Amino acid sequence: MVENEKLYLKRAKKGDIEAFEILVQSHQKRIYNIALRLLGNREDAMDLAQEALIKMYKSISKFKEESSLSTWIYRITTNVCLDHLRKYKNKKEISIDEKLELDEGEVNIQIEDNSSRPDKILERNETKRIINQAIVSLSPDQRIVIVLKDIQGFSYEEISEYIKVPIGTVKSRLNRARLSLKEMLKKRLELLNDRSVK
Amino acid sequence: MKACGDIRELITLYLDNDLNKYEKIAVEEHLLNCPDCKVEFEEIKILVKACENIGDEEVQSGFTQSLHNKLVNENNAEQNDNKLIYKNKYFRVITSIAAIFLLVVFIRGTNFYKIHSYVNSLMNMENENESADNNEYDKKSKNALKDKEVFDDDTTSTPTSSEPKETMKNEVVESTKSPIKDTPTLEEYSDNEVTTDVPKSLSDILIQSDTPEVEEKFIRNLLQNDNVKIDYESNQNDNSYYLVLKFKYENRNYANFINSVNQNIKANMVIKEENIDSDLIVIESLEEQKEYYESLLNSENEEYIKETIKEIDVNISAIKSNKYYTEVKIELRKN
Repeated sequence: MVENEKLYLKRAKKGDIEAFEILVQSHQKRIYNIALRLLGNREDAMDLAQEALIKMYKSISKFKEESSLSTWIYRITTNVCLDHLRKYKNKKEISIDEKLELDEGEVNIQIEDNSSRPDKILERNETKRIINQAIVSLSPDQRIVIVLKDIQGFSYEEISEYIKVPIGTVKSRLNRARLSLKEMLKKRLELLNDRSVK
Repeated sequence: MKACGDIRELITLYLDNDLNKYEKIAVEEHLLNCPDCKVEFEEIKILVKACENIGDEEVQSGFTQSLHNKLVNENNAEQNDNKLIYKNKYFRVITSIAAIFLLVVFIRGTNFYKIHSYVNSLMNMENENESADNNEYDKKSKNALKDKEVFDDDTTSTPTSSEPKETMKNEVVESTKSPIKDTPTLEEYSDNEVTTDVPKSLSDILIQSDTPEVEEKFIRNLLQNDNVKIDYESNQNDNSYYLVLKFKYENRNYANFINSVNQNIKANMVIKEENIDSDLIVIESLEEQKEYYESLLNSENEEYIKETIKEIDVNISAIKSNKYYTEVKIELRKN
């Protein structure tokens, strides 16, 4: 596989579209999902994921292989997303019963079901929607660390390479991001009410 | 027992299993005795778990096909552009790579002859590489052949020597004269009095690049419009030297541009190619190459050059960007 990757890389660097597509195939879903969680809607996420991939295609000839291909791929992905977020600053405030469009159809969020256990609550689609929406309200810097770490499961080291900040900064940003997110969710989700403490 | 504030700083790291065992114990002990922190801890724990539970969605159907079409379009567009540019008579006007101009500015800013000499020989070296590469490149690119000849006519004054790069590097301090005729030499730029001799037009700027391919692409793209406009802003006072060079080039060749800048001024700064997608494209300067420079210096000027190197900052940033082009600002600052 490593040998194959080298071969495809060589071809992709010469502009071979198919070789490029093979190289990025296994990353597409993740690229799309990073964009989706950062932006909060599918259409933009698809556009942005494609923008990132096109950017990769255009610059792969200059990929120096000093880092791994996946590092390079996610670095460009996060750069493209961050650029977008900074350009179109998302100032939207979400109220508790705002219509959300993240999953099929539009849903009016209403908090009910007071008796569920936290782990059950976590699996509910409404919960996911609310969290997704709350993430989108974070600042771009906080959003990206939450998405990369807590949703995508990248390590501090990887995130530090992707967004080009020291690991210490990743940690402190993540800490702040989790706190802001928690405060936001507390207001609109029974999940984090005092009931959650066993 | 640690204070609540300290413990709360550690909760995130605790959940990520990023603490040493002593810190872990401290957190655990604190949580046993502090209900408030315990609540905070549980809330964040649930939150993290909730994020993990969100999971991935499948890519929408049609994504791959639509991407494929875009890539094909991208490819075709580039090829068409290439054809156009080959017909462009301005291709014959060989102009510069801004990177070398940057180099020149750098030298002027530093007022230091050792570096200056070094840079000159670096340029000689590049010329040689270029000449050596030309033949091979011509074989590769039939399309380019015709224009390439024209290009060669304009650069016949470049010397041909087959000395390898390594040797050149060792000799750099001795070399003092730029071989390029009909363009301002580095000496002309190296006076410390600055700003009056900033090139006024493209043809005043030195012609250099690392490989024919990069150069060709870059020039093509510089000359995409018949009149490429390069704007300068510069000023100097006792403490700082500051120059902004603005020009536009087409987005698709941006990687080449970065690469060529990187190659040409690699002695002075390091460009992180990976940053090309962000607003601030490059922020990395002499720091990494400092040691190399220092090794070139003799002791009498060592202190001075150390200071100088430390003080210069290079920034390249895209200040405007749309579908077709990016406007670039190159900033040199000597603090």
